[in-house]
Amino acid sequence: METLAYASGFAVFRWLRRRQGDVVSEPQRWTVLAAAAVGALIGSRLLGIAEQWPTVIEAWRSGRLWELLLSPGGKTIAGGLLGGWLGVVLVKKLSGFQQRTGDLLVLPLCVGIAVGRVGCLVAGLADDTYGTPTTLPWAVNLGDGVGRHPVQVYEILFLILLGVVVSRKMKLPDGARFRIFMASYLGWRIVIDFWKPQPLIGGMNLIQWCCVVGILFLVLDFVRGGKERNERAAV
Amino acid sequence: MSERLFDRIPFAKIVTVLAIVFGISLGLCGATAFLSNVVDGGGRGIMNFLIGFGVLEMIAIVLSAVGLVMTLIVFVTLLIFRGFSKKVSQPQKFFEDEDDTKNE
Repeated sequence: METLAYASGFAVFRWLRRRQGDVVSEPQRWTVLAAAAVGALIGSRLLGIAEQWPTVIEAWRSGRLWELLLSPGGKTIAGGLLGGWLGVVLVKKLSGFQQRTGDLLVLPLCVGIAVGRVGCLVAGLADDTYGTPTTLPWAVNLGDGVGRHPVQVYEILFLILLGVVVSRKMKLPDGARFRIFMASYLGWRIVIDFWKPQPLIGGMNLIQWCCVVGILFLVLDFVRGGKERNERAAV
Repeated sequence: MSERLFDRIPFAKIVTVLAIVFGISLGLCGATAFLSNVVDGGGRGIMNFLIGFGVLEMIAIVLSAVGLVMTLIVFVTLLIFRGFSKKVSQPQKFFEDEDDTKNE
């Protein structure tokens, strides 16, 4: 399903790019994609492992940290998004490139993540993305006889809704759709992760804390953008 | 030298493709492991197929990871030598100095 998620996301991206065109040239788009892909790979893996911090501490103490880093599994979408975003921001800063490039990636990300979540549901308890126990009528049994929140299905429904809202024809400034998507998804993860049994630090898991940092960064960017707009209007 | 290499080799494209291949082969590896658990004891033929497929995925993972790291090292080294901010498609202002002097 992970494979299908990448493939479907990329297919939607190509279709959208053909249909809408692109705000940047082809070499620049590839540079942005390369930065996003590498950042996403690193971020997804790092946060995926760090999320299980008691296991990391245990591996560190027993000198098996490399073994843990090279072991299969342990990737997270939130880490991939934040890592990819950071990669693109870094490359843009280094190359002095200021054009907003994320809008074209919003719908592919919604599709890719939703397809990936089907895989999470199918993998069941082997994947670390299952929900906490519940007695609600729509609880799912993942093989251990316990009814659980189908958090993956909740997320698929949320992504369908977000995809529909964000891809509506509205007059928005460049980059606004991507920022709306990021703020919504990170906010969603802060809420939905309360229904996932992960190790907590200060009442929230590590993914939730990273989402909080991501949202703060978005707020700062929005405030800075607003100031720049006001200054331009004053001139 | 680095300029010519940049013109000839689409480094960003190669990095993106290798990263995608790495991600896809990792995902397929997980799917194969999952399937092998599901069909455990479901027939020698299926298991042999899954083992063969798993080996292919491992080769793809290793090759794409090595390729990705090597391409990234070359890409970043060339970028450092060439300068990160060169060749950005900002509009070039050939006559801005002339205009400035006119204003003066």
